[in-house]
Amino acid sequence: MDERTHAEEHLRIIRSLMERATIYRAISAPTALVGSVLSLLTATLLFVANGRGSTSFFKLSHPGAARQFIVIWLVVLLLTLLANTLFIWRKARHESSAFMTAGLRLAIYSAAPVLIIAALLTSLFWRNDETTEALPILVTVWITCYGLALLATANFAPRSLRFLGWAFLLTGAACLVLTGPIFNTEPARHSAIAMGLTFGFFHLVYGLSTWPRQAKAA
Amino acid sequence: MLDFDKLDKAIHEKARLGIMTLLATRAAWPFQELKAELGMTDGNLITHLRILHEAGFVAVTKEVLDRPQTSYSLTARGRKAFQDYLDVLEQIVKAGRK
Repeated sequence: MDERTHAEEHLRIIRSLMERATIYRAISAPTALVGSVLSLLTATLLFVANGRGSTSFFKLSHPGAARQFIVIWLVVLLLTLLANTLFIWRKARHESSAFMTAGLRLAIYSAAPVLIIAALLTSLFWRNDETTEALPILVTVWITCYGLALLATANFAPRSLRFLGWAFLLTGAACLVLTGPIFNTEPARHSAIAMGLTFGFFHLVYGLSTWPRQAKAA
Repeated sequence: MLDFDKLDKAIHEKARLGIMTLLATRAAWPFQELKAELGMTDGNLITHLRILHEAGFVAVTKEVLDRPQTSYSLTARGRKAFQDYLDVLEQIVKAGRK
């Protein structure tokens, strides 16, 4: 090996290590899969329960529909976060490293501003005790803010996570256009479809496509 | 004529180059995170860190948070040595293209 090839090889090692060290995947494949399964089940349940003539426990009653909807999805979020905490804790234990790594801290700081705004907007829907007609707007807020939160980590996120962020953001934009002409004909069911498509299906695709790479890197 | 003799011997070793590279990406690295990222054994990593510390390139910080933790960071001298090392590598690559 001549000196130039040797030097190039060393520069390649440096570059790959630097890239690896500065990239942080804020959503792991197992977390995405747990979130997607829970979201798909919940969305299906809400879609079926809100059909005409249904008397299901999950049928969103007119006054207080937004509160019911928020509570249901808050449970899904909490279960997913719980699973995520467990996965991070297991990884930290396996590697004998700290639970709160520099990458995790950076991801939380980056995504926090838009997530705080999402929480405040959600609280408005809660306080106003909105009916089913408001659900498409609430869902649009969630999808758009989640996409923005993912893109806030774009500087140190892998490409797959940036794609996921853009998929959410563009779907959020599409929901903004569709709210009114299409969404409002059956707001509860259409909101369930939007949640199932994004938090369910998008996460499923992301989880399945990144699983082999993450398993190899572990 | 540029050659590998100009490269700092303390850095110009695959494992130590890896350590210096990672230390250059952040303010400080806990021992366990370095170990996980580089896939090295405790003994091997400690040996290379000691060589870099003795060369004055790496600073050691010991603190007790929820448990004792040792962190490593580049000193100003270490950062300059790493930058010089990169410059020499670049010059070798450029000279080889001419």
